[in-house]
Amino acid sequence: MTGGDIRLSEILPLHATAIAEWRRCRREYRTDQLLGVPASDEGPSADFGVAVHAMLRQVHETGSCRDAHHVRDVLTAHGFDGPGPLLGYIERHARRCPVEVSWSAHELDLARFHRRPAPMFMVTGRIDALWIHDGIVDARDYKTGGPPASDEVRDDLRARLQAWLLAERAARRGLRLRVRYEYLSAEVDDDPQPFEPDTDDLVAVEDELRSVAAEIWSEGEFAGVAEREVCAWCRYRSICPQSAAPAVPSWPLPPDDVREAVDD
Amino acid sequence: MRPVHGDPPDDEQEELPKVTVAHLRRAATLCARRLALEHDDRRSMRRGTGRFRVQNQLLEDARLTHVDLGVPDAGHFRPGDDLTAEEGRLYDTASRWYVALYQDHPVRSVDLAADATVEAIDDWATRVDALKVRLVGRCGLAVESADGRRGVRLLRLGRGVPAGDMLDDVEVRFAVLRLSGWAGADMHLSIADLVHGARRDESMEPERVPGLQHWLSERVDVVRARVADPDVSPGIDCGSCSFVPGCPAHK
Repeated sequence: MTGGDIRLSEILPLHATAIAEWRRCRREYRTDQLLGVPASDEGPSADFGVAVHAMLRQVHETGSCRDAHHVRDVLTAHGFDGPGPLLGYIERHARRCPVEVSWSAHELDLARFHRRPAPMFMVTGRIDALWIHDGIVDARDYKTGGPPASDEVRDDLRARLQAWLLAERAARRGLRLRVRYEYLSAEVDDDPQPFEPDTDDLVAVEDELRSVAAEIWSEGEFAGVAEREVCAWCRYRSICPQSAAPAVPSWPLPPDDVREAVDD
Repeated sequence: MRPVHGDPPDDEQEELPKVTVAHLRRAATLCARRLALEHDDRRSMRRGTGRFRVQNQLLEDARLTHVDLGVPDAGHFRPGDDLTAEEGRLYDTASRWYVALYQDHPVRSVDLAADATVEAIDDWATRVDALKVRLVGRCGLAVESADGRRGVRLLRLGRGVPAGDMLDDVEVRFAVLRLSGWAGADMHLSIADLVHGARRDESMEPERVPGLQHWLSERVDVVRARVADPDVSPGIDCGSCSFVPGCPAHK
């Protein structure tokens, strides 16, 4: 089996997960983003993070994160009673939540199209929370996991992508742009330095995105990275022939008698 | 090969506006400009072709294994050379589950395009004259049992099978609305998740069909209301939109 020719969209869709996969392993990118093969193996669970994001949105859309009664009501209404870890995450956010804002949004979906120079691509992304205050578009990305990999938000691709998505909108309103990561886990003391991109930064991000799109367009082989530390977390590690971390698929198998008939 | 997912063939382009399962599911939230252009079946930009390759091949092979009345034959399922190794593994798993899950129910596959008794229905679309729309999109495998009873098999690669009322699932509703004119109001519904090895069957209750038709009418009203004022709403869906050229949100 070769994979044949896989036709790409004329306007290549790009988002943070797709680019991260592309950089981690081109084979994983093809299997997930281009072919849509369902995961054969367990990856890291996102359930708790999803719950934190959903509750933060709910708390802000129906009241204030600083109103302890309101926060508890929202959590209780969604089955998160008592002083569980989720309450702690919201309390730690509340200390960093801007007070006087002229506009806000949660889980804001954005898209920005790049036409020229070629290749064309469409970047999409979701901003966890966005506030306008003090002449700043203040974009926040809630982090529920372990400590940051870098002291600077600008070092993270997702932040650069969010900045590029928001930059035109901020500029049209004459506002500065700040992308900040909020680490909500009790084990993380300090957030990394926010990213406040200038014009040169944004040009560099666009160049970066364009070079990723160009690489994808010119790729023919989609070779797997075959590194144990990468493959061990891959959601296709058991069905990828280049996996350096062989496993058994989580897909169940049909009864033995049928399998034997098929094999015959 | 027939079109399974993707663009319909040119010779099936008709004048009635198009309504897809995605429109029924997301008419209220999909970008109204995109909805309007899709509804109007406008010529669109090229999109990627990879995501339905396994599903398409599996459906075609299932159709072929049931050309004559019978249960599926494992020997009729072989992954094509154009699939990647990962797709091949998925195809292997899914085809084995198909053979295993349907060993108890011999059927014959039906070529709807060749069935002269149902002029409004083919493998790709169903004309709904009362609403002046076409329901467009494949909806599983049309089959007929030895006793002449007709039904549909919806073959999924993941996502499980509905746990509660099967008609709560929009894909099932779409299949019933697409095919009940051919299969009759008591059509047999079967859904299988061929990744996780689950199958669920149910006989359609004829008295529920009018309710479904009413629901369709309401959903079509939502589509028409949205396309009458086709404002753009850029967001995540722009990544899969075929109508970016000319979009005021992406000048």
